[in-house]
Amino acid sequence: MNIDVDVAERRVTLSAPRKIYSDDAVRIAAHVIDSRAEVYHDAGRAAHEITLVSRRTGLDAAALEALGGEFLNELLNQEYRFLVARFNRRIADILVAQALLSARGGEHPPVPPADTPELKAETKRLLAAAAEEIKRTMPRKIAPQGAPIRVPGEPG
Amino acid sequence: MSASGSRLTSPAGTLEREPRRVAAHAARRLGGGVLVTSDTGEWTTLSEAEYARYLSGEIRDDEPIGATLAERGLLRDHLDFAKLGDSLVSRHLLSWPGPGVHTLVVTRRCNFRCVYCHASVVAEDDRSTDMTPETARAAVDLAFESPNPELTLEFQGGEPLLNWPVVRFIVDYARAKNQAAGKRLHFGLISNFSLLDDEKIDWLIERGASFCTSLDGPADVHDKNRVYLGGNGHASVIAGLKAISARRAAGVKVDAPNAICTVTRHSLGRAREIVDQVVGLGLERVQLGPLDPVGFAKRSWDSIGYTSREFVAFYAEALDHLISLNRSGVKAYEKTALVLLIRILEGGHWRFPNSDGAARLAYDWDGAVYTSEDGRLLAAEGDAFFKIGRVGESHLGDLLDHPLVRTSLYAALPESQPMCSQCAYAPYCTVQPVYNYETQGSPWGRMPSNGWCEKIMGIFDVLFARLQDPAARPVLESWLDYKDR
Repeated sequence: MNIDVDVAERRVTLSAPRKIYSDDAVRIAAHVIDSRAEVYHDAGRAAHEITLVSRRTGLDAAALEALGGEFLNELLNQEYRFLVARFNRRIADILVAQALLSARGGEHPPVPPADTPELKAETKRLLAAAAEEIKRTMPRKIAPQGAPIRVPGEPG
Repeated sequence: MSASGSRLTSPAGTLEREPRRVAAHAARRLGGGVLVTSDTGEWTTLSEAEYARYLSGEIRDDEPIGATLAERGLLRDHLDFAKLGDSLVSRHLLSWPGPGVHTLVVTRRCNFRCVYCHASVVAEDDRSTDMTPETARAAVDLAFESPNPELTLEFQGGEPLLNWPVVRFIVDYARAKNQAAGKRLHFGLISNFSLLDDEKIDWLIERGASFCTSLDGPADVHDKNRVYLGGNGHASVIAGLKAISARRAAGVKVDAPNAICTVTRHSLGRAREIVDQVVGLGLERVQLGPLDPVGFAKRSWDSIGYTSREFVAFYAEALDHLISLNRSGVKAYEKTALVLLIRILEGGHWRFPNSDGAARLAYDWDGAVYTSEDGRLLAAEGDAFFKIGRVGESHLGDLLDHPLVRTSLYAALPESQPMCSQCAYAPYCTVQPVYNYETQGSPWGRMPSNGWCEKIMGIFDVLFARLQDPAARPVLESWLDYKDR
């Protein structure tokens, strides 16, 4: 796969065979590199023709070539990921579904107890106490410094 | 044993000539031998010659190594499916009962300006990012929706003690709420200790809280990393640690305080000193955390960053020193090593597995909920990609239904990841979706050039090498005693 660079236009052009790389892999790789380059994609019959325009200015030829290499690495990674996922999809789906089911407490998750009148009253009291403490202790620029910590057995 | 060559862990040319005898496995060449691991995390090490015989199906049942391979699920005609099933359930969190760790950011204000801090802290007098008591109440209500019978509420910041009234409210409200819920409830304060005083320490201890801080090394290293606007950061950390330890020594019921060392470039070459300082304070837990080029640290990476190999070399030196101290009678362990050793030697996860969304959640000061604290830190830098809900609006079911939680779980499965799917360390490893997203543009990452993968594989190499060392192995095995503390 050739990588051509045009320093003046901040442009990298490359192609990748469609026999190997799917449209989805190109799209995902484009998203991944989106913060660093605008990506233009022309799906030809035999190859994806891809143009990256670096969002950063002042890159030299080596840096632009590295950007192209990075894109191709990501493209390979995504295509390979699809392959691995296809092999293992059934077990992965079971594992994720079971983990999520378990995290919510199984098929019949326990219902948290409703707030009792006592808890409601206590909550009201605690909220009021916190509001009062905030008002009382925190208008100053520097938060209240506590007394120096005493370490038992050491001189204060 | 030492690792060599490619980071791809399954040696090439391993076509099975006698597949009936060879169970599915991954392998990694380490020094002169081959580490062989099964999907369920059973493992053994073989010489090159033994591995060749294993692949050829020539190892007999009546050889000692044949019995070992059979017992560890590495011979296909001796698989114990009941045992394998139990192991898979444990390793894949299939019985994990919902989010257990809930990180609450009670303010983004901070009185430190750490060189690597991801947290995008704000000035001490800017109260616009303080969590209100009402938001805190809604966060606690959401945390209590988790079916997990054990909940840990962690206070983070900024510096959480700058919003002490809300810390107090959360503790009191959660305890009141728990009278009906009956969960095992823990609180953890993650603080720079500069605002800690005797009153706060005693108040928190009485309510069962534990304490965690950052101690990056000797004063010159610590204060270079963690710039305290109001005084001497190192001295305040040491004073806090000593004060809590003294209460513990006096019989007060409180966990030993934790002091986490974030390793920066300033730490390299100081591994022994850093370990000695923690151990010298009477602390048994040493925790060496790598710095990642994520969030704010990305901006200062040129001055404080390092390569993955440099970190692994540092880690190996620190671990060896700690092992040597243990052999001379000192009791102390390294936290990352312990977490991985539990997975390697016992086949399970610790109580705080690293599974975003399903096992832990993070709540920002404004009530936004993230899959993890790392995801929240990323949002503080302006990218809320990992936000999955909001307290007061979202219920646990909504959060678990969020596509990002599912994506994070899929990304965490080695079965879904190139390179991980053939990695010998996959049964013990976890991926970092936030790290992957920020450094490589997607939660999946790209493992062959992933810095975190390089670091964790290096740590595995170090651990498996030490497990082959007859002097080091008993020390590492003894660290398992710390898992329930």
